Amino acid sequence: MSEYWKLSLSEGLRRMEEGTLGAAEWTRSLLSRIDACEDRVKAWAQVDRQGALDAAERVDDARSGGAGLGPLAGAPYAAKDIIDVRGLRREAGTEILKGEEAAEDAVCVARLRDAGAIALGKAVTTPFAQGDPSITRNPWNPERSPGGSSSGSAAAVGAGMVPAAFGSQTTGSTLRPAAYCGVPALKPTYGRIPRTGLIKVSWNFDHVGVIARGVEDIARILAAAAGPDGADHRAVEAPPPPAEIAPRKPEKIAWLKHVLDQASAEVAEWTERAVSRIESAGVAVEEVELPLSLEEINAAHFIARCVDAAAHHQDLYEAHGERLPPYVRRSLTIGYMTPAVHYVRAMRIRANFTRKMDDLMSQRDLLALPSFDAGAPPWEESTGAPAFLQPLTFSGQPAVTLPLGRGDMNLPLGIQFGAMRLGEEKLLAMARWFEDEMGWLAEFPDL
Amino acid sequence: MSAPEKGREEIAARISGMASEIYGVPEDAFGRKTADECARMLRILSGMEVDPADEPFLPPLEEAGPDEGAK
Repeated sequence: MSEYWKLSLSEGLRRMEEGTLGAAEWTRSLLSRIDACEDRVKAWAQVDRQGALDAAERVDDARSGGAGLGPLAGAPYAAKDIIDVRGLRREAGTEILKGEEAAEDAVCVARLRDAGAIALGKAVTTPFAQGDPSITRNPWNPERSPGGSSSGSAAAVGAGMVPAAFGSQTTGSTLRPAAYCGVPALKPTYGRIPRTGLIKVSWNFDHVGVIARGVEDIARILAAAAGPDGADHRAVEAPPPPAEIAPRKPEKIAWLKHVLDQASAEVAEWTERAVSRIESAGVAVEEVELPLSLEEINAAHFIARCVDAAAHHQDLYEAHGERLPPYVRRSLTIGYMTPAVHYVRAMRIRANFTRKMDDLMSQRDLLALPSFDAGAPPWEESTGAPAFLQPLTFSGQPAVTLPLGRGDMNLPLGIQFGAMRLGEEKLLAMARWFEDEMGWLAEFPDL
Repeated sequence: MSAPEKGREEIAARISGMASEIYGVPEDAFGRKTADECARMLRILSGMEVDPADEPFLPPLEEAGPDEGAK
């Protein structure tokens, strides 16, 4: 069988339009890749083999019959196992929800279904999308973490088992795993993709994220999934950005060099080298500092997130407190211990921080910083630290990670770029320019 | 035990007791350790400046300016 599993989502769509690839052929190739490497990567909570093949054959039949098709017709993707896909299990990485099945699609899934995309299955999440490690391994080094909480989504895309996946991010849960697994990803503006149909962690910080083989793919998925939603009142009213975004060179980048004090020597060296290359290409680079320290951002974000999670999961805590994994139990407990005044204080600090970050970004195209502080930890110990992802989650501004290459222990390194809120079109256009000009592209591991 | 350490323990015990009484959080070693971490975060939060004008809501998106988009 041809290696169609290597196709990016956009390449696959173009081939299907040209008539040189069938959706079923593409799906079968991906299923064969899953068969070849899932034992080592453990990225899937459920693979809907027959459902995906049936859907792909319907796309092929419709295409050969001349029917009008959606913009993502026949494109396979995965959804993190806190995101509802009608008829598939929704267990959120925990025995407590074992056997639960989604009756309806999450809004983002329904929109992709309407666009013709095919859900290949559910990707493993850490328990309740929080910090306890999942079973998933890093496809580049199986002794290391793929990151979390969207561990299966990132590992599946990184291993070439699916060209794109939905993740979610409440702290660093989409961008960190994508960076650890060597693939690009987007955490959009807060509210840009509706959260209806997700198991929540925090009303204030949950974002639906997109992980894919290339930025062009991310733009296509964002265009289909974003937009207002009557059921999610935090969803922004702005229309989605366009599906096709041309590469565009940035003029001026803000560079958070000061955070390198808290990065490993390897991460600092790679990031400085990447920023030097950007500067050498004629982009103005200006060193700036965050309006708050990383420790302060962590305190305010952590407290608010824990209170949200505790309020949302109170029934779960009362019924299953002792059965919850340690990180989940700890974060909910901190939520119950936090006085209301401190929660409001954290949210006021967030509002002020966001305003200052808006000001900072209004004068620059992008903000640059590393995607993580140090390489992926041993898989059973931790999903890694979120400190460098937290600022843009806290502010609600969009951010992408791009792969820089591989360093110690064959592990990928990544660079993160942020933009002003609702600035996804510009952010993705410039991320595409980095792909083209810097060669920061996803590769495939030997599995 | 130093005075600051004793003070920390007392704060953690009070937080732990409150969470136990209202939410049934166990007052065991886990509860006390978690209360200590919570207290550490609350101390950082208490030391941060808050602008009297700030309300606990995200600034409206209009303030962030229009999406310039790719030219």
